[in-house]
Amino acid sequence: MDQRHRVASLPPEKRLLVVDDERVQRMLITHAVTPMGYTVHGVANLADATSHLAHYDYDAVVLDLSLGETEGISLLRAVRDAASDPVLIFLSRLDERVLTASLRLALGMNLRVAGMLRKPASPRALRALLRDAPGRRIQQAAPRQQPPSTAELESAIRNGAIVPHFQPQVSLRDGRLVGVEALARWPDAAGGGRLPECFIPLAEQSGLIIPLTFSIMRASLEACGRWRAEHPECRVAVNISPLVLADPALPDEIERLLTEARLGPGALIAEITESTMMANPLLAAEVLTRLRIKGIELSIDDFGTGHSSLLTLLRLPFSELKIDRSFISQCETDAEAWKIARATISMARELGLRVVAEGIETEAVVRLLRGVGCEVGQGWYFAHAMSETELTPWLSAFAAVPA
Amino acid sequence: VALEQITSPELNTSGPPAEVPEEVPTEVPTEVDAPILDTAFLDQLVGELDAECVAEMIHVFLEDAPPRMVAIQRAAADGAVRIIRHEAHALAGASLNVGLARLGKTAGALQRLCERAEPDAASIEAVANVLRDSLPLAAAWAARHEALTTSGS
Repeated sequence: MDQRHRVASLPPEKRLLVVDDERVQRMLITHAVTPMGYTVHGVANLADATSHLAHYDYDAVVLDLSLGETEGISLLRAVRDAASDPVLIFLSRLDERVLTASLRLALGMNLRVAGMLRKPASPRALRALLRDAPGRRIQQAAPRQQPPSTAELESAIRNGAIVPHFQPQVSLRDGRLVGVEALARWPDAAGGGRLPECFIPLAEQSGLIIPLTFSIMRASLEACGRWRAEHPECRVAVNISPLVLADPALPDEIERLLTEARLGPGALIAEITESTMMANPLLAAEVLTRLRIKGIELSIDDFGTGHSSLLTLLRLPFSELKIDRSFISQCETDAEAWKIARATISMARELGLRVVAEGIETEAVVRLLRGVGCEVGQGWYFAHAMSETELTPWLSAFAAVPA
Repeated sequence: VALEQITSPELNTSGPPAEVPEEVPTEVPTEVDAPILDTAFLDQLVGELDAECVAEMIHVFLEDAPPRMVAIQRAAADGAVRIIRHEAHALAGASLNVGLARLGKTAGALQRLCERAEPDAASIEAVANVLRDSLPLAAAWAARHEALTTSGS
């Protein structure tokens, strides 16, 4: 037999690190996974765990969250930095809330989390978690983007290089299109482009957010004017930075843009995320109230993230609430995320607000949300954000499909 | 401006979520509604591992548990609540792994008590008593299963 073939067919050696200060527990884990071909290293404290992670490549780490006096959670950073990108399994007798919070933290750190085992851990459950562990992160060459200079940004805004793309919003009741959200994009000739995360913060810091907002709003309203003849129901939602709300001329300026695009105020929804940058809340409240009196609807964006608070909801005349995507994208798998989403929807309905759920990716989530009275959905399940050129045929095709 | 959408991996959990938080005791109960040795649990564990492995775990437990109890008693004399909590936590975890259900519950109650207050002598004594009852039963189970595996091979 070919030597190389024989070598290749040997089962690959797998290593597992168990971090638990209790010897019987480490032994249980060892016995449970040895038949799967794992070599097990057991350590009892964080210092040993950190040094093992630095010296060996592990395929999996089983971590007791309540390691004596120190919490196992502080090891997460070492696991993340480990070159072998091990899969992580939590072990604990702590209550569900602590476990779930730890899982969220690990997921937020982009760790590969296979799940958690409650003590006493069942060997069978541990083996199942290891078998079904999520795959290794694909080492994607993240497009390391240089942030633009203020001069580049200013010139891009002046030349109209930053344009709105539009993501459809669909009624969860009857499947009709109700509107689109305008999202700022800075495309380049190669088909790529700069991400909003890369230029919006700069725009906010440099004050260029004001001309940028007006540029995006003008382009969005002009586009809306073009599709409105065919799709009179399709409104456009434009994000307005809190910094822009400090301008008392904003309501008149928006009214002027609407008139130029031959649109009534009902064609526009102003999406607001409150943030610490809302320097003058009283002035912002005045501007928003004047917009609302002019017939422009106000939407509170990213609700539930800490920037958009209940107090904002109380203080300002919103007509729509957008639940943040972090609750929606997890609501199928995370019971607590779902509870929060459901309670938010219920509260919004009590307050007479239309509820929009962002970040919908599956039919199952659509059904869940529809079941609790969420009116509008937005997300990849329906459509990605697209340029006006792509949106026009999409709108016609969407309208042609019976709901 | 909304950011690009993110996806979230699934959260796998073993067993149903515990909706009701555990009660915090004011003292370690002397009457605990759990068998000293949960043989059904051990049978299940034998099915998932094998008898030899489980017997080995029990031997390790028999070695480690009495010194932990001594450490608890010493810490109680010194008023070192953090040490009592740590040792009670370890003792509870280990007991549950080898089917010593009553000891697991009692030591767990002592651990939670330490999170609230300094445990009294009666609470320490309650754990020591359950441990005293547990050791011979666990040792007998291990001996019986070792005899079986030896005669079977």
